[in-house]
Amino acid sequence: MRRHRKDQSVFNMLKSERSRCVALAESLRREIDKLPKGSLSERKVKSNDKEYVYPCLRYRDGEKVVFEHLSHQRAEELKPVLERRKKLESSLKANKKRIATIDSILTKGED
Amino acid sequence: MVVKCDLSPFVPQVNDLLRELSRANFFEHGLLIGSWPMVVYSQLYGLIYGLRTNDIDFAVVKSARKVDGTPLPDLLGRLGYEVLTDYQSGIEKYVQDTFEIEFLMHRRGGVALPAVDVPAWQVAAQPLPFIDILFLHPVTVHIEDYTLRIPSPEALMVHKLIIAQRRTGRDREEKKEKDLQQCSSLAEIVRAEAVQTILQEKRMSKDVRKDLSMSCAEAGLDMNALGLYWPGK
Repeated sequence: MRRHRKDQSVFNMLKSERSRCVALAESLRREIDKLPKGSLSERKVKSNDKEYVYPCLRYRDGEKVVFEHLSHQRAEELKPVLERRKKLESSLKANKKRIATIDSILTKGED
Repeated sequence: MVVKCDLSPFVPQVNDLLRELSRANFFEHGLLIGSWPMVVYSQLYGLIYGLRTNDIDFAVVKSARKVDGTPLPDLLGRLGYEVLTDYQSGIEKYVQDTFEIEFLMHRRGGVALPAVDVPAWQVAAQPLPFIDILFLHPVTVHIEDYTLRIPSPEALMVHKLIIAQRRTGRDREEKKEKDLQQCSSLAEIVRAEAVQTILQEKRMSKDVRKDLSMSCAEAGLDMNALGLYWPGK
């Protein structure tokens, strides 16, 4: 009886950690949605025997890949914001993985 | 009390964070709280408690004096933590992968307050009741090349016994169970006289005493043996 109670408390703790991860994942999702998506790259354009390089923001819009022309100043402004988005996406991925791991333990525990 | 851990009981990511905070003199005024101190006590006293969550809570005092050097948001940013702010409550969390750092401070009275700025550290702390108990006779822990402070086992147990009855939210039952589980583990190492000292220093209302009593009953703990009694009452 005591052993069963102890085991149950471990599962309750896992449920608590799962709730924390779900709440954190929701916060991360909300924050990510506020940030611009895509990555910065450069495009080269040849005109009158000259080659011009300009920064652009590359992102997916449904089926299409969009290249959005940016000023150098805008590209500099976007750099830290896109880095932040990447870090938050990485954290979101880590949380989803942890939730899946906990779910798997909880499911096995119910068997 | 001062203790020494020969090997760090923390995972590398947490160890690095604590070392940096220690170098910034954070632990002169702050404490590592939540379930992480249990990791230290497990190693020091062989407590059977291997469970901990990936939220890392720190207790701070608003009156901490201004500290020279890197502000905490910059320090945490350098370590790869990103700040997430809830603009309604003003609560800040610093996130990296599944780790989540929060700063908490003591709240007097029963009215919930939004986050409070702590100028010394340039962070917003969430005010919660009973955090002041954790600051009573904290333990200094030497780990490898740094030092941190955690609540004493007695303060941690008294705090958990109280808040176990005051948990709110969807997962309150799970959190309560976790609190009581920690108390059961801590009960093996607490000194009754140190618990008595805490009860003498922290005035507790009838309701709080009732919370302590209910938690002990639910966890199967003997209040008298733990020093949880009020002489003359």
